[in-house]
Amino acid sequence: MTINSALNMPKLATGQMYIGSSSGFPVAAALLPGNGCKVTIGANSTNVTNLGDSLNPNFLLNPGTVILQPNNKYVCNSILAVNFVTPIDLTARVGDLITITDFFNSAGWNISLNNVSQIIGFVNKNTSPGGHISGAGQTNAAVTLMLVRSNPDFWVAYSTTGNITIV
Amino acid sequence: MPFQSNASNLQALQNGQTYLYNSVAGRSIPAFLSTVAPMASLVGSGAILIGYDQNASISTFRLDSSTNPNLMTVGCTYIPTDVSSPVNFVLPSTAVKGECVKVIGFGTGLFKISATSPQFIAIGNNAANFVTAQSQFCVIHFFYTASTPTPSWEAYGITGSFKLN
Repeated sequence: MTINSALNMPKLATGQMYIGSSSGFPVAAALLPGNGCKVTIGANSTNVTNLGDSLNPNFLLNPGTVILQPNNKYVCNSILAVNFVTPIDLTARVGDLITITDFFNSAGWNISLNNVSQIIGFVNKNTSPGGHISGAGQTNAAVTLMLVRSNPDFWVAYSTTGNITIV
Repeated sequence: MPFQSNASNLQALQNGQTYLYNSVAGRSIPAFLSTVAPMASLVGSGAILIGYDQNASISTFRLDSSTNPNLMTVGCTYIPTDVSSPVNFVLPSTAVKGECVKVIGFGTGLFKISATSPQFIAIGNNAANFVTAQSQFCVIHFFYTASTPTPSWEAYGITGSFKLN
């Protein structure tokens, strides 16, 4: 059995630990934050905390068309409505979330479907093939999407604010 | 300061392992960090990543009425998929204050969510033993208050309408 020795053990910096590697020798590294988590390191401490639904934020100013990414939050701050497109099939997994909110005095948003087989459902209505949902022409409209079926993707819209149009 | 650890008796680490102290052995030994669903660790060469597992089989469940009644687990999301019969959910009978569950409607068979006495569902200024979705894509979130003697599941983040009973 291989025995590590002081010769192949790197020096640790604050918050680091020894982690096995393919090189055969341990490396000094801190824990990495994964989905929905934050890692805070300190001297002799590592805290992993839950971010809940605090998704990765993206602040958009006149961005043109934006392909949505799962588990991200988008804040629109544009004089023109921001045009979003749902992710291509198999990019998101069931349970993934996307949240879009509008900034005060900006022009709202549209979400188009990536292909004619994808659907967004809202309360009691589906989008038509190639359709869209919209919170355009108003300030502070918001929506959250969750993927409930994959390939072709089916998203359910909820936690909405403002007038949502579904086509 | 030079590295002063006496590491000469440490066993080799595999990919993603670290040293954890073992009180039985009286020394640190190689081990993987353990997680409880829906948390998961992803290991690589010299790296450990901790996060929520987005695998649908762990934290998000698609269920139809064939598995009724469906006892919910805190921290999880449920997607009822039945197209003809109601999918019945039961809120967790044990929970810690602030723990949450949510249901995202999908199937046309709709869904019903019950609380187990003495728990009840608080929704607005009403109390209910169970709530029933009234349309296909109804959505509802709950968090647990743990108040005694009447612990409630507080409903919030509602989309669509629900019937209270």
